[in-house]
Amino acid sequence: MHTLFDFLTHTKGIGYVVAGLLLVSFIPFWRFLTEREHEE
Amino acid sequence: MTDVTVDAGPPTVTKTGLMTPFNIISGIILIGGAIILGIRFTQGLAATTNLNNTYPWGLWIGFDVMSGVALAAGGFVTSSAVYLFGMKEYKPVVRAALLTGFLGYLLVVLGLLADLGRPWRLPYPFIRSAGPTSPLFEVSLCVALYLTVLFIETTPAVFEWLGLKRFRKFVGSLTIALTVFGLILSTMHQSTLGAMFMVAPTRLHPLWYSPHIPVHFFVSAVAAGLAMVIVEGMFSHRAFHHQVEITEDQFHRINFGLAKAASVTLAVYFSIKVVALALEDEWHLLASGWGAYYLFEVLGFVLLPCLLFAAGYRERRIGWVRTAAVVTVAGIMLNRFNITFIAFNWNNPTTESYVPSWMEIWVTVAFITFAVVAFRWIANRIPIMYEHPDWKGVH
Amino acid sequence: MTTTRRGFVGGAIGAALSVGTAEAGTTKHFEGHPGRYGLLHDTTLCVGCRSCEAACAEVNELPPVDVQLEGSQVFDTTRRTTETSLTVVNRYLEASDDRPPVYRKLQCMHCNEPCCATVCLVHAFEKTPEGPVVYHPELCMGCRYCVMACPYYALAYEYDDPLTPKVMRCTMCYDRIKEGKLPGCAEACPMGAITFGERDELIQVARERIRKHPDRYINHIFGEHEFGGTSWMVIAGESFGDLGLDEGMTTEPLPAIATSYLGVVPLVVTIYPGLLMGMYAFSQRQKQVAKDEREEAVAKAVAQTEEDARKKLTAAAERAKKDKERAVDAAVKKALTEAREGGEA
Repeated sequence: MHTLFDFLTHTKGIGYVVAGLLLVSFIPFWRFLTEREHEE
Repeated sequence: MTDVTVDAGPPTVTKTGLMTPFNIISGIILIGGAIILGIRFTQGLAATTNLNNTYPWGLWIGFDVMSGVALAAGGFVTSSAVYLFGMKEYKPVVRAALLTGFLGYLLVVLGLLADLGRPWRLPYPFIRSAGPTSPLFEVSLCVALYLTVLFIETTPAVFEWLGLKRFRKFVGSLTIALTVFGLILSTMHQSTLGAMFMVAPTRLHPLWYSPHIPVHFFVSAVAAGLAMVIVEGMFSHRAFHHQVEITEDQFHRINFGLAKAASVTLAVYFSIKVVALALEDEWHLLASGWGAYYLFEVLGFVLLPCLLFAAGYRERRIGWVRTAAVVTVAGIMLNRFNITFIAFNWNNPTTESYVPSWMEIWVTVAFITFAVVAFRWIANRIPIMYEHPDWKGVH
Repeated sequence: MTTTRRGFVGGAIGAALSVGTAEAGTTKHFEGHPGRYGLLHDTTLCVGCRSCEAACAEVNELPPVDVQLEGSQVFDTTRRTTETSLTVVNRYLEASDDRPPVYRKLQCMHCNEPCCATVCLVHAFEKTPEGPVVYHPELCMGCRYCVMACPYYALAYEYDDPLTPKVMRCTMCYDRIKEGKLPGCAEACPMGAITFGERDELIQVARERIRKHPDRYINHIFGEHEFGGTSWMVIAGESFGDLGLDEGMTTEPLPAIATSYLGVVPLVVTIYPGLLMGMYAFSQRQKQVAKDEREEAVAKAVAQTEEDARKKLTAAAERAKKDKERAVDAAVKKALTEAREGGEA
């Protein structure tokens, strides 16, 4: 990893994947949190 | 194509002639646009545009991409207001705003396909080789996803029209998730379009360049979206008057509410522009020729409509509100043009200059015409301007 | 903004380099590939013969440059590189009493941290270990963001080509370098105005020249640190601003500046869902509270109405009872009176 450009390519690439996975996992998390609210 | 006449509510189709003035003029524009695009793809960009090596981006990027995205922002602004912040009073305009948004983003993609050197390689960043360091990578990813979101958000109306109740119910249940996702995507790509210019601190004039340019783009996009909902409403409310179910009074109240929001947004936008001057100690630049032009843009197209919206809201003058909306829309376009090819290369050391060619202008007008024609065709058939009787009062 | 012959810019810039990457969101420092090549352009030696232009056209199989035919009229305008001229020489200053005309050769600077590579969304540019920045036309979409971004206006595009347009720029003769040959321009220059070698060594060479001839050169190597440094460096006897090299350039690498905002993207993606769902839940709760209050108010109003109705009914019943009693009393009295009168009659 000799240049800033290589470093940024590496970190941003991982960053997109990580952010996407976290976003998607919010949905089951929210469902888990609020499902008992509908059980009345 | 048939013209439809309706009672308030679902349209019943009656046939009138195909050769209405509107159809003839828009037909000429569209056919001309198609011919020019044919030339572009057989003889290259040089044959149809005035783009050169110093000005690689011109009207097609400045309007179709930069302005188009900002003006289509009404979709996420109104849907967030209605579905996330509970402002149900704006429900009557949400679908029109979302449809405008969808067609606007479709225009962006079409404009891009015309401008790219090799448009068939559009999916390359996602399927062949990604350049994640590029702000444009982020923009294209977000725009692709957001176009999908907008598309899905227009399907409830389609399913209502087709009577597909189960599909309609399913898609309706996705509304909140789609609105949240849409707001995330919009925040990112509206601001990143501004961030695209951060790479060129020596080529963009310092009055327009700022480390905060992404924030400027996002806030101005919100203002542009609100203004476009008002402007689009001016035309569609009259064109589809027979379909509209809300009273004139209710419609005006919605517009006054939008005017209030637009006034605040423009005030915020103006403030952050002033902050940017302070941040980089650029006050002295205002005394130059470029400074005068900058003041023309900011005072005439940001501060002025801000005050006009406020006055129109206070005095309940719908005419002032609509004027302010038109000025705001023009101001956003002017700002994007300035940043893309007017204040860009302000200290250009080459002898090259750029003014859009008549063919570039024609194609841009053709794209806008296409969106208007599509909006009209869709709104004449599916419940955009009114509520479907089976689904009244629902999401 | 000009630097005098004895002006001094270099040392301060060197010190600033170590904070150069902070804007990229990292404090890491990158030295680049060790031993990579560069070129030194000594404008005090350049006589504007344009042999470099001719050689470049030949090596890259582009339309030949006829130096003789064009003569010196070609210097009447300030030219830039084009899709068929990957390098051009401009005359920036006319001859004056104490010095000949000043020329400079322009081309892609092959930056240490290339902004063209940074802005390319298909990763079509690469900084090679040998030094040149190479372009991959098989990936290029033709968005021309690189052309827009380059601070040296070095990139050109084939707008005439409808189906296979490419970005055109100096390649630093990458293939020739790999074969151990010199770049075409360096080999062709008869005046030694172009020196090819390892970048670190060239910096030493430049420093030595400046040290030996302080009257001849400005004490600054352009490209050593500008925007993170370039492979193609320039030394001159006149201010760089006069030679079309913007002295206002920062040492901050352009990739750092260009990508600084992108750090916000993962933040928006991870913060917005919680934030927005919170706002949604809040607005739903407000609605529910408003609804409850409304229902309570309605219930109260209904109860009140019922209460009032009941009271009215009871009062009416009372009155009716009293009326009845009075009527009964009156009837009884009447009956008694009649009976008494009947008895007396």
